[in-house]
Amino acid sequence: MINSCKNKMRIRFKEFNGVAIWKWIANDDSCGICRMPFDASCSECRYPGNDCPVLHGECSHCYHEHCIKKWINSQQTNKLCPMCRQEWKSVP
Amino acid sequence: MNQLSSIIDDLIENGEIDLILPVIKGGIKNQIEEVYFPQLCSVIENVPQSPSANDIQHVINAFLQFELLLNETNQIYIPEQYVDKEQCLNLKRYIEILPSKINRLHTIKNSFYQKFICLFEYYLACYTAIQSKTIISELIGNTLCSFCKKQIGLCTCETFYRNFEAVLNILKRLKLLTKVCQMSAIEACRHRISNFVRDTCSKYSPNECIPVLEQWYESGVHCWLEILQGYCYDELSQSSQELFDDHKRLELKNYILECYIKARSKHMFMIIIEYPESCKVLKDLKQCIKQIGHRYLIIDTVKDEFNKRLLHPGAGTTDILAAFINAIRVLRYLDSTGVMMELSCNNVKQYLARREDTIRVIVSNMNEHGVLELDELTESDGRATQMDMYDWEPEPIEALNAPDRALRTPHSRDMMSMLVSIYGHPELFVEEYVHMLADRLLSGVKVDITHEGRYVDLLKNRFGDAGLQGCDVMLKDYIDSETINGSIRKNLSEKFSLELPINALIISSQYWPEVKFSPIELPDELMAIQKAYTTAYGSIRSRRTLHWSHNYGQVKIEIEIGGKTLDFTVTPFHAAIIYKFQDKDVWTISDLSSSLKCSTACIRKRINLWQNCGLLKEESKDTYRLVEDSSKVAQNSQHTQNEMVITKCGDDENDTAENQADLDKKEHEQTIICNFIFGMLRTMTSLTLERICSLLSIYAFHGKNEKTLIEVRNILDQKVTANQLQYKNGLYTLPSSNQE
Amino acid sequence: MNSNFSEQPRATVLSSNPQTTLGQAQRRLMRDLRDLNLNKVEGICASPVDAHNIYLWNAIITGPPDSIFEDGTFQLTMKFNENYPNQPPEIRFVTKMLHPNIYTDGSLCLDILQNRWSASLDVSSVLISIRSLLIDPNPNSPANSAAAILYRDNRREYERQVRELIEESWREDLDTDNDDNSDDEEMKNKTRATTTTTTTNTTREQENAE
Repeated sequence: MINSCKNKMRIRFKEFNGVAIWKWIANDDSCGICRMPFDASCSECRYPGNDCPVLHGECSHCYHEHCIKKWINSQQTNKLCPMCRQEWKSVP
Repeated sequence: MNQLSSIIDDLIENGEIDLILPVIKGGIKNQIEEVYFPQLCSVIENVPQSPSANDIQHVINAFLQFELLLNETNQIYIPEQYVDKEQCLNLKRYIEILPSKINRLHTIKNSFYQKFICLFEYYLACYTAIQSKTIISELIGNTLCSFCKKQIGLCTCETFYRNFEAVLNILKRLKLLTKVCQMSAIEACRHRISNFVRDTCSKYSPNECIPVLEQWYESGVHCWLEILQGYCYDELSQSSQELFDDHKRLELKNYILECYIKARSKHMFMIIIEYPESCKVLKDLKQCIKQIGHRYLIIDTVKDEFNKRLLHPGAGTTDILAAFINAIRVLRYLDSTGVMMELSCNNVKQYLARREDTIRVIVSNMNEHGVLELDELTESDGRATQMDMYDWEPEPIEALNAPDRALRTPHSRDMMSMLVSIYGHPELFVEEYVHMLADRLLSGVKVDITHEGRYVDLLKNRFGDAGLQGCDVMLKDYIDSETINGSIRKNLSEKFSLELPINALIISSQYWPEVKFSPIELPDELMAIQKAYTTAYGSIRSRRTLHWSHNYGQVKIEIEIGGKTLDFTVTPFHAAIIYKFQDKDVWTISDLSSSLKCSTACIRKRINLWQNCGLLKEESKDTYRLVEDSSKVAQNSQHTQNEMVITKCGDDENDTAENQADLDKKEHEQTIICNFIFGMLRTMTSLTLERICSLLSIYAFHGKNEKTLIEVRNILDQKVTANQLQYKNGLYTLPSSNQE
Repeated sequence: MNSNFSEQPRATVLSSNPQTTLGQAQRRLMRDLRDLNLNKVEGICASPVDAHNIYLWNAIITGPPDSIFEDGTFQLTMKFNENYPNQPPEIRFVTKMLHPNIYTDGSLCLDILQNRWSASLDVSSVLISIRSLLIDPNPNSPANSAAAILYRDNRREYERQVRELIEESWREDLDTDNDDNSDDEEMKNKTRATTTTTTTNTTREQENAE
């Protein structure tokens, strides 16, 4: 009322219901093994996100946890990153 | 004439006949050709289209007189020796040549026979009325004679009809009968059939008609033709011709069916709505169509009636769907190949596909068996559909115009598939459903997730998992978001004041229909809380982050202006625009765009909302001013407070595509609509929004130009703001000065 | 050429299977197929033999230009199993080849298809590697010693024989084109029967399980 000459209108926010998409922070958009986007699940899972997390390797490459684990388990001898063939060590 | 006879006698006695005979001959000939005959013709020509008993009597008298004159002339005795072959006054011969004489007189030929059509129809009507008293009283349900409209006991038709025999005899003596019959009888029959069928079938009735009509034909029209044939027998036997060949008779019989289709096609809407009560009528129609075709008559009326009666905003979606289902049943029964249905119902399908709640109604009517409850509501006794189950029919000729064959697959007897076919293909239906679900979840309305989950499961049973997998994720996102909101709110409340509560719907973008991101810089307050939320999210879900879309979501704002407080719920985008008008009263689109860091097209599209509710005014092209006069805003704030909830702007998202030409076109269209509305209000004084909408859709804007309720309201509200209309108690009126 | 190769895969049939019943390998193969169609790579093309068995593919490699293999088209079969991409596919030339690293039965000696296989490889990258192997043989791991010796000691003769084989393959193509269709069909069936016995059994089991 005091500065009504300047502010003829005053707006107050009462509530904010926003919409946002979530994204994995990763160095790539999709998993190099199953080729699905990280924001989608691996081909074995139904739900993305918590149910199908993304694992980061020390070599900086990322895969769906399920995909990289399957690959590692299928290798008898050396467990290598499929992209760079360095030894796979996942970052916790 | 008698005098003439005695004069001739005298002349013969005096031997002076040679001198005078040519004069007499010529005189008599002239008298006949120039007086008697034209008199007869003019009487016949003057018979009105539907003659009364008097008119008919008049013609008969004329005939009788003409015949009498000829006879009298004939009685003039001229001794044999004076009659030479070439030049004789042979009146018998004159009668012989009368038909060809009439034919030669082109001017009267057509109307001459034409009049006999009316005459003959008159007598045919008498005859059929006499012959079929009982049938007709059954058919029409009263005891009046179908022709003279008197109680059957008092009917005078028989007396009338006796005259007809006299007429036939005269015509026969004049050697005109065969020609007249050939030229007029069939046409007279057609007229009678058409009039009779029209009269008896003018009102909708659920009873069978064809057998009665056929009986009427056999006992009436057919017999009458036989009688004519009998009268003409002598003349015909010479040329060994039939008066009417079988082909002509068959044509007449088919003409009954044609008239019947014409009469009943007017009732198609009733027949569809009343189905299965109307199945007797349908049986009739099916028989007609099978024999003579003319499907287009039905197709056209079904189309028209649906357009007129159902395809407008005033009709409920459930009603339209129920009518659509019935129409499918009815038309499928009439034509098992499905072509008729496809041609008639195509626009219904298109309309339903455009209507927002169609999918919702269809899906919410599904139950565990995947059968529509709607289907059960309108369930037929099955009698009609079973009948044609096994007899295959070739596609009718109209199939050439059929746009697509999706409805005609073997499965299409299943109503659910029919409804799904509104969207062209099951996959498109599923896609449409997914979009609808997404819209609902994004709309900010509280959604009952277990309920929605049940629908998704029902749909999966029917259509398979493939297209619906996203729905599971969408529903899960919705539930997860609620949990996350809960914990983040707790987290944030420690750092922020609770003045601005924030909630988010956090979605897995890969599983939702495409989410739009139109960049815009939000007011600081919103930005800050959003940022805080994102950080808090990152701590709950490690290695993940959020991207906010300002096209969706709702901001509840309170606007204080001119001493009034108004509440709005709008998208963040809309909020950002109006927020700018706090600092400055006047903004141009381009200034807003650079200040908000977003495209001008985006702003143009959304600034309308504020203009429509009276807060902003377009001062000059692309320049908007805050409206300070609070009374104008208050005028329709009732509206805005309760109803103006803009929950999404997802539909009209081609932000960059809209060019000036489109805008101009829209403006032009709007002017037309306004003029139309003003016109309506001038005649009807006051109208509700719904009424205006339905009138618009009926009279002005079919098809893709059709306006939704909200669009029309926006236009009307603009006019109210501009004082060109008044809005009171739900009614729109013209301001009193405008009413004249 | 065999009509099967020019035919586009019937994607509708493939995708109409509900996704949940597809295994990891099947989904990845569909993805590979999609990528191949989206990003066409010069000189290679591949697609499943038929819509019902995504594990068996036919592929064609055209000889790289400016090499002795120029103008040759070489047909291969690729056999995947349900462990793909964690296990490499079995790949075999159908066209008769003369190459130090290709056995006379058509199978290959290529490290990435054996011990150096990686889950990040896909159909397209494998075929690209094979194509480059044609012009760049590795004489240290000979699969066809006669070819290896010829390649090392008498390059001209090696090249002459390779050209001869390519020209021979054209004649065969012409012959099969002129052949009766039924014969063609029969031959196709025969090759399919011999190569797919193992995989068809496994897919059939899966189909039954659905």
